[in-house]
Amino acid sequence: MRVRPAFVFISLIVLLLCFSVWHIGAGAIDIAPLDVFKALHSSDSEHNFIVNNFRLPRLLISGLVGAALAISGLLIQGVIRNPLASPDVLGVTSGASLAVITLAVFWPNAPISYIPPAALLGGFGATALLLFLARHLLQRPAAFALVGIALAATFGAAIDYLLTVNPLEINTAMLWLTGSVWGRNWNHLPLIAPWLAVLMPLAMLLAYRLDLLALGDDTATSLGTGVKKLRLLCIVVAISLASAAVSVCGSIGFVGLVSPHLVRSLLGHRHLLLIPATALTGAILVISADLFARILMPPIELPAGILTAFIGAPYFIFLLCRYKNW
Amino acid sequence: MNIEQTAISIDTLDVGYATKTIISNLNLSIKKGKITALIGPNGCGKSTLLKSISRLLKPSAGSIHLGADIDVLTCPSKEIARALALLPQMTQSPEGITVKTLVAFGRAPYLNQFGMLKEEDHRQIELAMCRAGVSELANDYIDQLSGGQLQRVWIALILAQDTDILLLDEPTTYLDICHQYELLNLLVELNLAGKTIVIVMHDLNQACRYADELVIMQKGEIIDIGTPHNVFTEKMLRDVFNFEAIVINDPEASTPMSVARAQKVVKSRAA
Repeated sequence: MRVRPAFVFISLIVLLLCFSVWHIGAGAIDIAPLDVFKALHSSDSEHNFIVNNFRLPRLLISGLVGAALAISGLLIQGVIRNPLASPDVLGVTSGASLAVITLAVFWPNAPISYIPPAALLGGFGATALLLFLARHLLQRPAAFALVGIALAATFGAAIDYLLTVNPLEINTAMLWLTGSVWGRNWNHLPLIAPWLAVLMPLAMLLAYRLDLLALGDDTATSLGTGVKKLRLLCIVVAISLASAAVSVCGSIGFVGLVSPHLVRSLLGHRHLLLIPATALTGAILVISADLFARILMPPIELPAGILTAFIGAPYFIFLLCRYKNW
Repeated sequence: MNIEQTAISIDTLDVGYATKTIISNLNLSIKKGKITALIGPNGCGKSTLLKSISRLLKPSAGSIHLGADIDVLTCPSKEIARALALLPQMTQSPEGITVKTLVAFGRAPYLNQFGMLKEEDHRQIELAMCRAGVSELANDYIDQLSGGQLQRVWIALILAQDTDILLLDEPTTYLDICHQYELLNLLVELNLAGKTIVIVMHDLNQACRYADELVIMQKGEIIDIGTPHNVFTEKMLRDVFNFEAIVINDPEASTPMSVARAQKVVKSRAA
């Protein structure tokens, strides 16, 4: 199935706008779509306060987190040529989560600005560990992914241990862990927006070389690409994006796995198109997940991560079943 | 040797993997405008040599120069990619792209960060597809091609690279006999048009027929180098390949060819 790129982008943008308006409008107080626009524009609208102080920042953060995770997944899949890879499957996000929880347990009063470096440290630590443990499995995507899953499970167990032994504000931690954008406000935006603003253009600069990498290391090298440097740079960008996403709202699973697959099936192989398209798709996924998480069983608000897992986990199983090169 | 006629000159080269040295103190000049075949038993270092020339492996000592002035070990990668193209033994094609898209990747060394093709690039791509005989396939998806067609498309890719030197690592390995000769004839055409071709080959008779020069390797060393008539002997086959054979004149091309000696077991069965 191959579709014209312009059509794909217009559809994605329209979809994103629709879900955004719905996302802002839905909640304890329903706001009609037209009133949403009014509230955004004029300060004297009755909904101005609720929209601008609660729902808009939450929408933006959902979208940015989705975009960051999706680009991260695309880069990781491209660079280790593994269709089963994504930051959550490989344990990068749980490594980052573990680092943040550790920080929260041992230094409960740490300022919010300490969270991103902790998440980055955890993310890079987890990746280094994975690359070390699975250094002989790089050519065997499924086995490589399994090592990642085992690592993720180990980090998960460590998180559970920390939370059980230190039942601090367990609720907040739990909410954060399952990947929720609940209660996120403008203060959280600087944790994610600058990362995306810098790293997404950087990823676009690497796009053509990623296309070349798909021809194999030998061909890419003989066409003049510095394969090792490119691979390292892409992994650093991917892990930074995933860790930044985790530092805002915990690990929202499967967005990084599903979005790139979806977009590849529509647009093919060109990373210059894939990167923005997968970012839009990731944003739509997390925004819609957060939307349905709120409106499915009010007044209970489910974490968005639960809904993305509902879509993503079956898809992952489907990929595993279809995958033949063990 | 006159430097003008040398395409690749290799000087006291040492190459190996982590702990194991494969090639040590190797010297070799490859002539411009010729077809040179690297032959030798498995593990003799012929692929390793090809990989060093195409900078997939980093030598621990020695130097490799293209022509008079390009130093393979220090020159920018893109500049070398404009002088030397490689067809690896195993190629990898992404799913769902067209022949033309794949061939266009050959222009990579001439393009900017975003890989925007200019008019000259389109011209070179058309020319490359024409020379490799895949112009009619331009808009076909590569997953639909046969093995022989796909290999010709890859030849078109390295032709689009517009280099003077082509390196090919066992390009006929996965082809059936008819496509093997089709590909080798294509290489001769390219050679006549001025390309210097270096090719790793397994089939000795094909090497003798198609190569101007044979480089015979064993255990990481060059045993002999010269025209097939001069170096392809029964003694060499016995010493290097541990292969008992007689060398006769190829009735079709008048180049030497080997015929394996019959074992007694076979004879007695026939009788």
